[in-house]
Amino acid sequence: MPYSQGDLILLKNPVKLPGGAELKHPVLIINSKRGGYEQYYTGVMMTGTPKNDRYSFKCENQMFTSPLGKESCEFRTYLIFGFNEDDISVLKNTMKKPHLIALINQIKDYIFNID
Amino acid sequence: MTYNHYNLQMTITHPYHLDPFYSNRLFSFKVIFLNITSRFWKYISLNLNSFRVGIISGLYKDLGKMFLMVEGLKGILNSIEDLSIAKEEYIYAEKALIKFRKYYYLLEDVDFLNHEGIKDISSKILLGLYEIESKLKFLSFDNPKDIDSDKELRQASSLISINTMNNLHAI
Repeated sequence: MPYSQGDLILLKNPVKLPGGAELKHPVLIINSKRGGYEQYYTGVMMTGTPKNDRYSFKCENQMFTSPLGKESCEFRTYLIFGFNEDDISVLKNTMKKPHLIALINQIKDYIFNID
Repeated sequence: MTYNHYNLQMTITHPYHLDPFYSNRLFSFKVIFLNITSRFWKYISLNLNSFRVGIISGLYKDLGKMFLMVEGLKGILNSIEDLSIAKEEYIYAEKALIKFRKYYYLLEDVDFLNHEGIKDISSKILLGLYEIESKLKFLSFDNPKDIDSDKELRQASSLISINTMNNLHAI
């Protein structure tokens, strides 16, 4: 199933850290490269731990097509990584367009400094 | 200096903030009225359509003026170099964004009154306010000192990306 920009997904296998702990954070797809050998996506990580710093993008339920089910969530705009379609476990939600554009603009302007 | 004198001086020295909202336009009334009435308007037999159309027209004008203000505010952002001003204005910019987002949700809830112009200009204002807020946020906050608290998340991101790149090379 092809996923789109703005889809909030969970990854199939939680990442195992060297200490043994498993991380299963929601990830928002900000870019999807299609037509290659396989679907390759770029995502930004969401966290429930509010930081309120220059790299946070706060979320509200209304920014998504269905409620998030958590009071305070934010994206950490510098935690960007790539993954395959096979790594995706489930589609949880979808971010609405204007908020997605604002988030991507913030990443472009302050993480990558793209004019 | 009395409180009133101090207050007056503050008003004179700080005539505006980065806040595009007017206090005298009944903007919130129009949005809330239209949000509520849009749900049951088709069931009302009274001929009040011209009244409603008037309010929609007024709201569209208000949004147009607000759009111009937001564009103007974006224009003066680059001239802010003083960190203390950026920090002070960030509070107003964040408040304005949160406030407008509430109105945006109300309009979105009723499909922007089936008015393409209102939909378009509301989205542009929202994006403009996001731009102002993110710029001031970036200026106001230093690099996070507790970035180590994100260590696990950063490790996770790196591991996933490395695994993905390995898989791509293996093809």
